Amino acid sequence: MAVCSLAFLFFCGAVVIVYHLAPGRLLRQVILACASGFFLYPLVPDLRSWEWFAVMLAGTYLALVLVRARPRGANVVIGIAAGLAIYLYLKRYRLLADFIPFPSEWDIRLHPVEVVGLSYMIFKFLHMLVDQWQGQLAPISPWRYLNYQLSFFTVTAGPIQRYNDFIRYWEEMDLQPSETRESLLYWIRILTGMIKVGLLGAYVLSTYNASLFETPALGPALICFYAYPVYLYLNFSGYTDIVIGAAGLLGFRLPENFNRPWLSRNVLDFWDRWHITLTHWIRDYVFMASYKVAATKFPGAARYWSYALLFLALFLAGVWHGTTDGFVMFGVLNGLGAAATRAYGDVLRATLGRSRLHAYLHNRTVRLVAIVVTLHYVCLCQLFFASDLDRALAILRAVGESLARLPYTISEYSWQGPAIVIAVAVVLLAALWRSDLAGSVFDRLALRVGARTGWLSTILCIQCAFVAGMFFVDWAFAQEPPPVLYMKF
Amino acid sequence: MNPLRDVRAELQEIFRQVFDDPTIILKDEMTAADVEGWDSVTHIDLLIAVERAMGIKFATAEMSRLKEPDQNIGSFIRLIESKLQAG
Repeated sequence: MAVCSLAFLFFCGAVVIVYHLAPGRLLRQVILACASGFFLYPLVPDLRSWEWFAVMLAGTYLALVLVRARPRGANVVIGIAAGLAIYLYLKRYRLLADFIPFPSEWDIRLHPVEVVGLSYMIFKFLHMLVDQWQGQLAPISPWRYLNYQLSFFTVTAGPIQRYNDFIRYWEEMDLQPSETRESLLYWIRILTGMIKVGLLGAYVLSTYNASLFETPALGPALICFYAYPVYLYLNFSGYTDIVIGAAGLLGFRLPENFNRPWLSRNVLDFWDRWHITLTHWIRDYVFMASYKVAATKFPGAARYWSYALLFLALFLAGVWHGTTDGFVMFGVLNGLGAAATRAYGDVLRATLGRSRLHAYLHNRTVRLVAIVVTLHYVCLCQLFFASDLDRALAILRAVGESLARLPYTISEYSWQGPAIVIAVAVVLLAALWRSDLAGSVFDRLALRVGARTGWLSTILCIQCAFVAGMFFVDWAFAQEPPPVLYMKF
Repeated sequence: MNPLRDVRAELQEIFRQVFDDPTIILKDEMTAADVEGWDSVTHIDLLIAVERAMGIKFATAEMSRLKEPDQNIGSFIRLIESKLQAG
């Protein structure tokens, strides 16, 4: 079932009604399990995929039971290796095929198995394995594990909720339903997500696609450069809004995945605001774990280890998306950006001293420049995320060549085009200059509106009209609902 | 755990060394956002220094939890005290 669809809206409504009518925790848990099964069923294409699904779930659960019974490092290493091997195979990492002679029916490039949300299942399993080994995991059972892995609001594309957090809500399912105001806020969040994915995101994507094949010119190349990150944000944060809203209606609080990423002042800050649950997973189970070992064994070289391991962590975050040359470049650029950010911070600390560093970090001009530079670096990275290496380089070449002959480039356009771009840039820079003020005004406004049920109902009605129009257009022109891009990872 | 052990004072000294700031005074409600330079790397440096000074070990989930927005110095001190009591 597509998350941004009329079917999902009705599905959510039905589940919420049945769920809140049901007395007692066990019945509600059964209802949630059935809802997850109903949601998942159309996403698994064939019997062989179901078999792999079952094998994955049973195998990972047995590994957890084994580590619980014998909490030894070797068992954890075997569990991690097995989980990653199955992941690489099912994700068709072609590099494996060059080294392992698979029989033809098991050929990594040809197998038809599709396990939806595989990456997210593996992330959940690996963190459980490590936490189980270190005695930090809440009690497990097949029923709890199955529902944690397959709950319909996180199974396809996260957010990566930690097991102990899930269990806390799972055990509180007999609590009273949320109040009307809270329910309205969750429905508004769902519809906001649908508008982001189905209306705004779809429009930006169509603009991007229309410009993609005209890239030798400056205008289309710039649209490609800026539009794809905007589309990606709308698509993924919209999906996150939908599932956080749906989970909230059932009493589950999911972790946030985005926090105003376009206000980041460096690459590390950006990844602390974008796909937050993935970044924090990598921070905890890749970076922290490895840096702790390195800094303990080589305290004199800890700083250099931090650069190398930050590069590795962000590089892994990049290539997790895929192994094409574009994703590898995406990972390399993000890794370099993270390591350079850390090195720059160390240089500033060493040269400026505490009081001047404080003044530097709180200087408004420095902050503005940092945000603008980070924004462009992130757009550069996502250019390689969006397309293969050759096309990304062609777009960059077009921008570079046009900028090199700038006065003539501008004269090729009518005056309106550059004037609009400059006006938008000035407005954005002014908003950034006073972003603290704008943010606090926005937050206060949201707080006041959020406190009044009448205003919330009005907003919800307006959103319903938008979403109804959006789905009517989809139905009238026989269009598929826009897919959530991160489902394929 | 030695009942006379002043965990807060010991932790404050570690903070001053790790963040190279002799003016830091720890209060229960302080969070990572209140200490300049408390990022993921210095977080680990801090935990390694605490582990060495106090003879305890932090699990990955505990290290992660301490970075959450709802955690503060008060919860950090309580975690250390519970580990010291557990021996």
